[in-house]
Amino acid sequence: MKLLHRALWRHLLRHPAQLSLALVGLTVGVAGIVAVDIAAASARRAFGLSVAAITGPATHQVEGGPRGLDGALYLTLRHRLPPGIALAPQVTGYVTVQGRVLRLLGIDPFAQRELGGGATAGEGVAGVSDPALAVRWFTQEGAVMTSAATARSLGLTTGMGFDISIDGVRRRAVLIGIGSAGGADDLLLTDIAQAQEWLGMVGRLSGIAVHIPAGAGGETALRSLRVLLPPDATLSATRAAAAETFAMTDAFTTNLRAMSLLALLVGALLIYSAVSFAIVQRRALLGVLRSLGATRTQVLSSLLLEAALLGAVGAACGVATGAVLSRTLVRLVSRTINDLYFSVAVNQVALPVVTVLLAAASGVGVALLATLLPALEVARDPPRLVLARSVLERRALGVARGLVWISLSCAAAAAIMAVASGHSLVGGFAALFLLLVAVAAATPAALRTLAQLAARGFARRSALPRFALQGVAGSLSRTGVAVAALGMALAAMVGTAIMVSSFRESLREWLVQTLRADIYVSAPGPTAGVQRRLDPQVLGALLAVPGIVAHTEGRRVSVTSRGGPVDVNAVALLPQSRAGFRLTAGLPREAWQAFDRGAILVSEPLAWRLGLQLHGRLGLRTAAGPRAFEVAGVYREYGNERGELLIDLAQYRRWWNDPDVSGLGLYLHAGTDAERVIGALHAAAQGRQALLIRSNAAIRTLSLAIFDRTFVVTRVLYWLAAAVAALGLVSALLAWQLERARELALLRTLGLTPRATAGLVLAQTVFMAGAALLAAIPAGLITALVLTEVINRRAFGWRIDMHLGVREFSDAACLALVAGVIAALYPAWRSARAPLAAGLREE
Amino acid sequence: MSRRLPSLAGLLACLCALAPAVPRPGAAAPADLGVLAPGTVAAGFQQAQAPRAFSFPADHGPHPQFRHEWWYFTGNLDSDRGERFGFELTFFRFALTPPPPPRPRDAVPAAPQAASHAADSARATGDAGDAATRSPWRTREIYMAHFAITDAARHRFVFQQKFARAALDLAGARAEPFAVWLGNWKVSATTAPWTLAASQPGYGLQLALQPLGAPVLNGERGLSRKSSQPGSASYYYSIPRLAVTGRLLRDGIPLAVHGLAWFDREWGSGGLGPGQAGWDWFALQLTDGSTLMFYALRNRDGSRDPRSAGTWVDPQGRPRTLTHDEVNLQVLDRWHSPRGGTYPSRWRVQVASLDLDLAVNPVLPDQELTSVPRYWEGAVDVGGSRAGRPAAGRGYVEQVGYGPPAAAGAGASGGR
Repeated sequence: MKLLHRALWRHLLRHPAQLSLALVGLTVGVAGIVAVDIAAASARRAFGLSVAAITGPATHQVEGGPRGLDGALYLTLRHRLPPGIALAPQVTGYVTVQGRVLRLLGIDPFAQRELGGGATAGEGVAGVSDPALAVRWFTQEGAVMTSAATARSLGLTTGMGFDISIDGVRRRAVLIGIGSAGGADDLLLTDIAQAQEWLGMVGRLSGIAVHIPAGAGGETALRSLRVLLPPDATLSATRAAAAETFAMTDAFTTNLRAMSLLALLVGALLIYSAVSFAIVQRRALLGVLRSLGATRTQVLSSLLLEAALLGAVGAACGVATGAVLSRTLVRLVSRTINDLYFSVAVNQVALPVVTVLLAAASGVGVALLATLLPALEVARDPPRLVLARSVLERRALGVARGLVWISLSCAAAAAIMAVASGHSLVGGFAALFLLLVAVAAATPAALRTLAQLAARGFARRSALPRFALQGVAGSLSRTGVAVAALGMALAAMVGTAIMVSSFRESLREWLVQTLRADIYVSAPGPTAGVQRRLDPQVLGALLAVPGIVAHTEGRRVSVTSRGGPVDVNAVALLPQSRAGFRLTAGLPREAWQAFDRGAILVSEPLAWRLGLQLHGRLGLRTAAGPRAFEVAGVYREYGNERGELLIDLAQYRRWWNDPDVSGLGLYLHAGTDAERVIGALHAAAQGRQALLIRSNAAIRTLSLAIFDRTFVVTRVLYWLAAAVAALGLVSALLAWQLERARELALLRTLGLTPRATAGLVLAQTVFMAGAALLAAIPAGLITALVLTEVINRRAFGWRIDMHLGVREFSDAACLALVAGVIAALYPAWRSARAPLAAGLREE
Repeated sequence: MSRRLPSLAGLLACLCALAPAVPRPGAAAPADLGVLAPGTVAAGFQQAQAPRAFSFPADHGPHPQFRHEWWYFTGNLDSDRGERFGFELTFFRFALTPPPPPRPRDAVPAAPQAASHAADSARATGDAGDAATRSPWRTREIYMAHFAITDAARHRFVFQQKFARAALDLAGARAEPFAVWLGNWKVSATTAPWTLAASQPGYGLQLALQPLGAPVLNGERGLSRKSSQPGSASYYYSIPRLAVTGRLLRDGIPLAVHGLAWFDREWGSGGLGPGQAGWDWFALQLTDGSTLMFYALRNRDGSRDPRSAGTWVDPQGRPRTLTHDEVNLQVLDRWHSPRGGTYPSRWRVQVASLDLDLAVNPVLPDQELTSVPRYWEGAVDVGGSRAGRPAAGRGYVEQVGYGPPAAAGAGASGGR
């Protein structure tokens, strides 16, 4: 037994390349899944902390309409509610400090204290032993506190003054204290009075945190609270509200998880390829050992033990690599979340234990599984058969044929799944995976058929190509899996590339069509910032700038609907602006007529998310209480993946009693230089409000830049999978060619020149890579179709026009070609150079 | 008297102690209190330096020119069922910054103390006119309130502490008609008998208070000096007897109660003297209608400061100042707080000049308020003799500065 172990192990050690390739395969597979999971978990954790920092121990949250709550409500509630209910007023907004967006949280520390618990923002951020802190908190103009991490990253120390920008207006803040606990970063804490003044919310509140003690009185207390709320206020349980906010990123995280699964799938195939190759290569040795009396059980257990060890080492390396990799990924993920959803600072990387365990287990499990099949086979066969290579290849052929059936059933299942899973995003991804598995399963048989067909084509002309191609067809056991892995990865890559470029093209067209005004003006701030508003005086000054022929005013806010918060785009549209909206449901004439009467138009994502139909109704909470608005049409919109609704500005003002303006669209006289007008507009706002003033061309560029940034993560992951698969193919081909050294030496003694030998090797590897690519192209097209029509639609509700370009295929072709060439280089060089005798002596 | 000074430290500690593990100001001896440290000149505030003319009800209202002041109600109650209760409801006002110098037009009113608080706040903000850009939450004053109930029959002592800023009527005080409030804790003289209302989990009070005499000025015509430091003094008066009737809610069940309360008022801008560590304050109401107030200022070396003083009011309502030498205090027993620190627990109070010899016993041993810093303030029973005749009564005793310095901040969470 000991001898058996040693013999097998020696063989592996004598082929360190084999060993390390198997390890690399394992490592990369495990690392991918770990990295993505860590990134998603870190983002989720950071979000949880920022929510906890703001809500603290509150059980409920009272929130108002777009302009928040009337401040008097807090006083009324305090007076009228039973003493057991704790209330804390909050004024929140966003500020920009040194180009970074931070959350500003204005609290009344006394009320916050009554809310109880130990984890409120006040208690979390503050942590100062200076008794004069309280005096400064209340009396110092611009007093703020923040966490140590945030202060450090901004280069601030206690007592330091610094500039902050709110709605483009510069203000002076002073850091009066630094705290440690709480973990909420990117949060500035200030007194409620200061926050009101800075955010232009004097007399108003963003919300009221409520703590209702658990127990029998809770329901009664809730009822008594509800009765006192004005029609525009909503009462929600804190946890539900937070979950709703984070659910916005669900589609995003599901995407990420799906990609990590793809990485594991590719990794698993690679592990299988590497491990099974390591066994196949030792068949001769194993046959000898069996002949010498090693029992089946002994052989099997030795091989499995080896696989378990290999798996454990690979998994450990994978977890470590994944943890390192996740740092980059976390940055990408948090940037995307900030771009698209809400401001969250992911400063701490969470290492979820479950993820690590699962990843490690999957590494070991896949290694064992990959070993089990070939090991069983070796152990089962009589020693004589084990020694015969032809048996192995014949069996591989049988497996390849069986796989064709599996591939067909997977493809059928994918089609059924895509149709039958309704709105489910997970169902969509399941269909996608089935499709990719179908591609992988069909690849070995396709490879063989392709090689045979090509060989037949060459049959009359030259013996050498035929020989090379027959060699390919007869090596399925060695190379089939690696080719399949590459084929699958390339299909995913091509599919994603097509989806992304189609999406980008649709977005570009939409931008061209929608951005009708020459110049757009808005108050700076985060996307979600309801506070963004133009100073009325500045507004007047802007419109007085010469060269402007017409303008539209707009207000972007978030209001409450039955399906959670909904973004509202309230605009006073000019006829020429209306032409920019492409309705995908509803007739333009009727839709706009209804719009003028107060109906709303909804964007595709919103219609999808809330299941809205044309002529249906959407209930919104207005200043006068809930009101159902008629849906007069659905329009194409790529700017907001949560979806938005369009309402006439006058109607919005009527129902929400909000006179503010968030942005302007300016139409210029024909021939007017937009850049010159932009300069004049900046001058008009100078010293009063720093505004975002951009030409429509600049907005187009910026939008596309954000789009590209959003898909960086996607690109990175698919490239990772493809690169790993290419690496796997290189290693498999390399090993296969090295194994054939004797065969090549024999060919050379038969008169083949070194150059021809090298050509033979190159032809074989490039052919295999080409076969993978060939499989990937149709599969990639289908994948793209699934991604745009199923996944994207389910995730966001967007409809995308398919665009095909050369670039989407050339990347994959290059990758495959390079892999094929690299795999050939060393064996070709070696077989051309090596002394013939040495090659022949090998056995 | 200066007995409430540590409470500002408590307030500061509450704010500073927003993170639980941080050392708290006020954890040290009461004389080491941050901004109230001895010798701190409260620049910009008016100082209590010389006797002044008191005027009522104007002086029941706030005195924003001074840094701090308090309204202090304690009382002993009996329910119709014969159960014994004690209560304490106090309001503290702390100015964070001095009031802005009065503008010419503001200088006109004769009694600035009588000005309503709202007007003061508006003045304090500096630009009262700009309501659109100046938040009504802005404040330069903070109110704190303590509410404690002693339930003798059930051996319960409960305490709650609240804070609020003097803005938006969250907390405040006014002179005419007199009122002081923090949230729904309120004492007001809008109606003929004053009303007092406060509640906390388990207990609530709705009382009517009828003053049984005119305010009594303590110290030198109302000026109470605490140490030789200039400014280490306050204006101090009491209404030693108020008849009480009303309801006490225990676990939601109302009990009709009646009894006698004590009202203490004090304001100033200075702190304790440098060598002082704390004080013991006695407010005793005897059944014959007389009352005794005495505060003993304790030095760090354990001796009693000669500035300790008191006021005796005879049954006819005639006050008489008591000096340090006239009153002999003897501690008969001590109580070890489970939260650390040892307090005197039974006393013998002798005033030879009045032929008074009283034994003072707490109704419950544990009447410690877990504010920052902690202090003991509780209902007491009084027995003994006066002029050879048996004397009896009730009262309240306060003891400050007994908690161990390191642990004094442990109860920062107050009554929660």
